[in-house]
Amino acid sequence: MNGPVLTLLTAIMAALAGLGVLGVAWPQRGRRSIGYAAAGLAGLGALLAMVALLLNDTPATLALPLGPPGATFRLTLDPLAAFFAVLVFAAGAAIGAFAAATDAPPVAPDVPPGTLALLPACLAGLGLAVLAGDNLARGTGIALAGSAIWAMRTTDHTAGGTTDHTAAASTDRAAGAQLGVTLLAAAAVIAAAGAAPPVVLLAALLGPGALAGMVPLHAWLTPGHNATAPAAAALLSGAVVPVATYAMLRLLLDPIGAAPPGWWGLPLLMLGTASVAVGGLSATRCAELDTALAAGTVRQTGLTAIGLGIALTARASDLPAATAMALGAVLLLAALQATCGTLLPLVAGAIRQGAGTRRLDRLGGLVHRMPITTACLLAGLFGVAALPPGAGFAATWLLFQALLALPRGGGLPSQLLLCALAAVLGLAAALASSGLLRLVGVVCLGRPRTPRAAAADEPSRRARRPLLALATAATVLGVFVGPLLRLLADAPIRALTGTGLEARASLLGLATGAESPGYAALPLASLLVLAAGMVLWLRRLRRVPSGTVGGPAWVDGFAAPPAWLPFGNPATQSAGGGFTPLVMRAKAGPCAVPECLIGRRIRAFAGMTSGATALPRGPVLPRRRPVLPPLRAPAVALIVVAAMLALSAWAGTR
Amino acid sequence: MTFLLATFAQALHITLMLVGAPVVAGLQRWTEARLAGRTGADPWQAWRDLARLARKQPVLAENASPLFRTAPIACFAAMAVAAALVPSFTLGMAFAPLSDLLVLAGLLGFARVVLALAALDAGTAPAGLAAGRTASIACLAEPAMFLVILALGLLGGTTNLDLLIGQQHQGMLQPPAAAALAAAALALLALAGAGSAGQTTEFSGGDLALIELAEALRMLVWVDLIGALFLPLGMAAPGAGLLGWVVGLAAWGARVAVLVGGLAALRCIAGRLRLGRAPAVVGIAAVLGLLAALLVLASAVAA
Repeated sequence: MNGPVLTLLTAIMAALAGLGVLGVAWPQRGRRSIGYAAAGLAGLGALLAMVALLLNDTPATLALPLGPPGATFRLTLDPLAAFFAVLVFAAGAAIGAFAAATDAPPVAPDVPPGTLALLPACLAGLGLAVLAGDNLARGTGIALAGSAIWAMRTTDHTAGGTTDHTAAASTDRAAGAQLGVTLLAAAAVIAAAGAAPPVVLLAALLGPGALAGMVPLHAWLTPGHNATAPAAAALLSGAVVPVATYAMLRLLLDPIGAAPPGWWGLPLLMLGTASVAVGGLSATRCAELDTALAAGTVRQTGLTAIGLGIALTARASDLPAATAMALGAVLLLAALQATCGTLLPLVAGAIRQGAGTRRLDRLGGLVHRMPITTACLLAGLFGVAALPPGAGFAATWLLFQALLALPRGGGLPSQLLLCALAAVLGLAAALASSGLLRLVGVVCLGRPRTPRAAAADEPSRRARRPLLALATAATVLGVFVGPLLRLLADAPIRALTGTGLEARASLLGLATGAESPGYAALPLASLLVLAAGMVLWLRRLRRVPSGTVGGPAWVDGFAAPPAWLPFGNPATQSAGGGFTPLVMRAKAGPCAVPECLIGRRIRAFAGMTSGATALPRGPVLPRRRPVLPPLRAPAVALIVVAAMLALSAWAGTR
Repeated sequence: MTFLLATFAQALHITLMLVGAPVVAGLQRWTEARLAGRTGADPWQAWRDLARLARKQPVLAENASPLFRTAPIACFAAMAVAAALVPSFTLGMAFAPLSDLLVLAGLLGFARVVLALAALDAGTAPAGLAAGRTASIACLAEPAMFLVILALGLLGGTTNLDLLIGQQHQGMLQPPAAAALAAAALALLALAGAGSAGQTTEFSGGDLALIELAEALRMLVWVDLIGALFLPLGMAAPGAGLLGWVVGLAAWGARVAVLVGGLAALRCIAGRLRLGRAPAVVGIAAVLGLLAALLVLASAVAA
């Protein structure tokens, strides 16, 4: 059955490429039709790939009459390729539908092709990258998709008739960086074919790792989402990042049977840890909505890298259960990226279009004017936050259980690494929920900060449909995580490692073994709904006054703002500051976005200044210093413990 | 039969937790007052306050959205489910397979985030500041909590609370020093994360009653968690008869009374934890959790 499905998928990719050619040749004609056709074709591709995944037939191969001189592209449809094809095509369908619904007519007759014209070509490239049977075709697919996104971004501001040349130049620079990273990833994938194992690891980290936004090559991603069309940002986040994960899986874990060296997991674990910290902290500091979302992508990539590192370590130690759980987490994170990672940039685009800005300090109170968009933003951020019963929590649970199953020997360094990884999972969970709180709280709740935000508009009904579909998918993925992983991820994991999830994923949820209790997502969600329903029922039964009395906010008894501040005193609402951990400090200046204390120290040491104008300082009041300032005590305790551990380790080696 | 007994035990446990939570909060306030030389309101006063609030019609701020009215229900639901998962007088209740430490941490986080979102919805300075403060403290507390869960998971080979308590009951959580360190870390985390201070200024009527009930449940969940994990004396084994349950109930009452008395005494001696001190307390909890995990790992290697 895989053979005919692969042929049909190839035909769909050819049709998408044809649509791309049509769109580029006649950029003014049938723009929306091209978008909807691309969405339809991508949706059909996702359905076909789902059928192949559920049937779990023997892999099929197809040689294409295409390729560089002396070589031909080969396509393969196996369970892993089918899994990622479902993700990429489904994300593409939603993006296509949203882009077509929000498309604005060109301002001039001779504009270059924009997002809608290049979207089918990008989807064809991503499809080629996923279904490729060799590294040459995979690298070519990645390069094609990246080039299409680059073209989208460089032509969009021209098509929009912008007169802001500084912003246009900035967009061009960011797009250039994105193209460079994409081509680097494509070259790394192609160069890894038949290379020595260390070269393969290096290629995976430098190529697909950078493409997914892994530290240290993550800097391109944040401005990459900035000031660009929502469809291009969603493609980068929801389709390109899962494809990068797929390329890393192919490079590091394929073929079956060849166990990687034990140390291969170490660089991934360390870079993943750094990505979680850098991305998570950035997401709680960024002053713009889409930049904060992009930083969240870096955090999620860090979790994926940690999952891959655990899987490699467990595989080298011949621990199939831990390997399967870690890979289950990786595939779940990829599915989350394809749903929430697509949804969130599209929501950010809808907010930018409806409220006229993406700056947090100019938004607020959107829940009253954009309730559906707010619900979608909440659903997307809840999906990635590690809060039950969301899918992000399920991924964290799987990663933690895989971590517990790792070998405990190896001396003090590996034991410390184990503890550090557990703490990092906790940090990722906290930063994700802090990001949710900050973005939903500042953008959608509270008082509007500007008249434009107070008069924001929901996107059209057609544009809302893909958003609602993605939000529903994210919620369903969290509640039905057990059966979905069993149906969709078991076969790919078995194909990669020889051991599937088996009883670890069941109808009720996830478990560590056949007889072990675990995380039961469905019963937990049912209990939450039941408890909430009981409260509502009791309220009705006791005839508690259901109506409410409206009135001005209490504000601890402070006076109402003067009439010339129609939205209240702006200083009484956070514009995104104050959600960071207390080790961060607020930068002095009109923009109350916190800045890393360490970064300030480094810049001061290097003689650099931030350029921000400091506010005039008031009289310095005498302040009693505490005996032990906050964080000093645990820092001292930690140093003492570290010294004791180092001493004991030194004594042990003597 | 066993299933019926487990279901009955679960229903009894939930009833006890819901009824007992405000009483325990009242008991703590009464003990604190008595230790400070004041008369103090009797422990049932908390229930009277809740009943009075529940009869009142809520007053909403002009800017409040539908989320503002949904949040107290969601917060209470999360805390009620968390309370249902932490065993009190017996093991092997119907929800025992669901009671995972990570899930428990997640439910506490869920309640915290929902309440903070409602606080931000009001658009007022005190509530917004409190919401941001909660988020920033959580960024330090969650890694510490995960370290403690790692230590307990390494000790017992599972993160299921029911199984861990059963192992502790049989003296199988070795070395005991690691368990003691983890207990101390959990106690510090409970202290540091205490209270929804400032976030509830805009709530009133039945909504405020639900949040106060959820807050009382949160305190009882922490007391129960620490007591059951590290002092499971008298707790009935799965399938124990009526006598075992009676002993378990008496032991649970004694355990809660001792821990609440200890908390009241601590507050009387050291005063309430200042907000500025919370990061330091969480940091110490993290160090204790790290030590506990390293102790378990070192003892496993030595064995």
